[in-house]
Amino acid sequence: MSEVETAQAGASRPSDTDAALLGGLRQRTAEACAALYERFAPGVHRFAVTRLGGDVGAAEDVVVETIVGAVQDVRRFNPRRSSLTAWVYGIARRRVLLELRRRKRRKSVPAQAQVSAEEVGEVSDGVDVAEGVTSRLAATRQVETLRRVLTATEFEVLVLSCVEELSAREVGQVIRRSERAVHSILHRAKTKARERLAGDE
Amino acid sequence: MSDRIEAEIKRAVCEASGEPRPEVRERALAGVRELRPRRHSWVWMPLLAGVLLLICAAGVTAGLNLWLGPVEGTLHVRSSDAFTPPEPQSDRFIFSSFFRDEFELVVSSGIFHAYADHFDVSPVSDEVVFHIAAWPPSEADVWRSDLEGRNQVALTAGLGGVNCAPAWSPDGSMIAFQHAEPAEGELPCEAGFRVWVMNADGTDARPVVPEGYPPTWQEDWSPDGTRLLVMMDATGAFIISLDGSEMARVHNVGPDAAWSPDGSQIASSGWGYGQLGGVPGVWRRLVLTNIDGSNPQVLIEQFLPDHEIEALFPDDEHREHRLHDCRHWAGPVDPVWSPSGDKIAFLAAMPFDPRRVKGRDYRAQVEVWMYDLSEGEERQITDDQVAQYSLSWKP
Repeated sequence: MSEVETAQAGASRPSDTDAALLGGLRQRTAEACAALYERFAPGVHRFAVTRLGGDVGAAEDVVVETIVGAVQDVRRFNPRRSSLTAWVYGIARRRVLLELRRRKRRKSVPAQAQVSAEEVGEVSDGVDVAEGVTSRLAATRQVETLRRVLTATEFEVLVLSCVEELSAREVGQVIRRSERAVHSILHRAKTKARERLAGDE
Repeated sequence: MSDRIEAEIKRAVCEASGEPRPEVRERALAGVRELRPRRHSWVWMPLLAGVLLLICAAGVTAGLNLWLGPVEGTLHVRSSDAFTPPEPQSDRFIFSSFFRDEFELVVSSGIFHAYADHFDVSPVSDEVVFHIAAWPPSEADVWRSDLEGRNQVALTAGLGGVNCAPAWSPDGSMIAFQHAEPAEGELPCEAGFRVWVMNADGTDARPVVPEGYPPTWQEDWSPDGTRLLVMMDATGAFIISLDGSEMARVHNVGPDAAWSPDGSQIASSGWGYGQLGGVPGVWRRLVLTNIDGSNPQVLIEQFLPDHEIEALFPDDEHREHRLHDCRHWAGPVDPVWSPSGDKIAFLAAMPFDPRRVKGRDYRAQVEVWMYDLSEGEERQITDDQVAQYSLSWKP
């Protein structure tokens, strides 16, 4: 398995995998940059879409800015302070917060999740169109419900922990809280989510 | 059950967000290719050193202000290594300043040889007002000194009774405080506090709220210095003119209220008994309300289950009082606005951990927090395991 393939294999790989990827990024090799994208873009995209209220366009901008920012600043990464995963999600989170701050200044309403005709075409590939769209809208509503019920921090912790599967330590590194605080926030978030989802059933 | 919820959340998020489109990959990789070539840092060293020398020569403070933007005032934190009065205290102030969003501890100073509480830093000079109380608090006086704790002057020495919780007016010309005259063996709160004002030199002390009204205590000055926001026993928050002639009720405002610099909103802390998941406990909140009481928003919310603290202080004769204090300090307390009005600093033990309570000292977990209104989130500022008591944020 090549270095790049190894780096693509998953975010939970030990630090020697990260070291290989970091070495390539410091040299700015095309393979390493592509590997960085493959490894983190899907998760960063999910994180950004949910935090930005379903605004896919803005979330894609966050993905681009995160990848470019990580490559540009890779020399600032300090493995003693955080894992590579936490560092990249930390960059993504700052981009998301910048976008949210811009919105507040513009006093604009966050875009709601929409399913375009183009996406319907993708969803309809081999499945029933109506069922696919309905399912996605239902999922979007569930996520929006959670976003309303939870505080911003609780929602972030829930997504980073349950969806992106970051450890409590890594989540703490992303949101700058202690591991213990993350456990507490996660417990609170799960309790609220459980009550809410149970109420919706 | 927990796994099922996690799986459900993961499924919903993955389904709702989908994958980034292929062109996003192309944009990202194109962006990387467009990055400037890396330069060796030593190339820039002489230039950087030259710039730093220039900045030093021009004056560090002025240079930083011009380069980094205006300083977001100074947040003063009153903290202490020990808290139980009447033991001699060595209170200290930690001076902190904000360059943009970055928190920076500047200097630690100000030793006070008494239990100096509820301090407020002058908006126009390097002076502070605070109160020093006996214990039990049958007497207390408002004092003024410089920030180093020198030149301490008792402003209410001739007034008698309990005088406490002083607060400077926005122009620094007056001080509002609470006054009570308890009988022998009576606590001030039993006698009932009244809101008073006096000149900054201690002269012309007079009550604000007319006779006949329930006890009141002051919370904050209006930004223009013409009115006070007060809490009235068993009634709620009121805005009252300094001569007491005008009084207006404000709904949805709790204790520790702070008036925003632009005069449009009030931040306050609040709490209420309730349940979370069927577990009884206390909700502690930081609430933001318009000045007319409309549009209350919960900024911070923390739930403290009863069962987590019920085992504390088993043999303490003041157990109920201490449990009340635990619930109080667990949530947002003493909010203060940044001069620009886009941040609110507050004190809280979040999350409150009963296992860390040693003896009676449950306040060591209280730290300084900051809620950023533009980002809509809070972050912890201090983590020094030292009891923090009150905040004052000045331009």
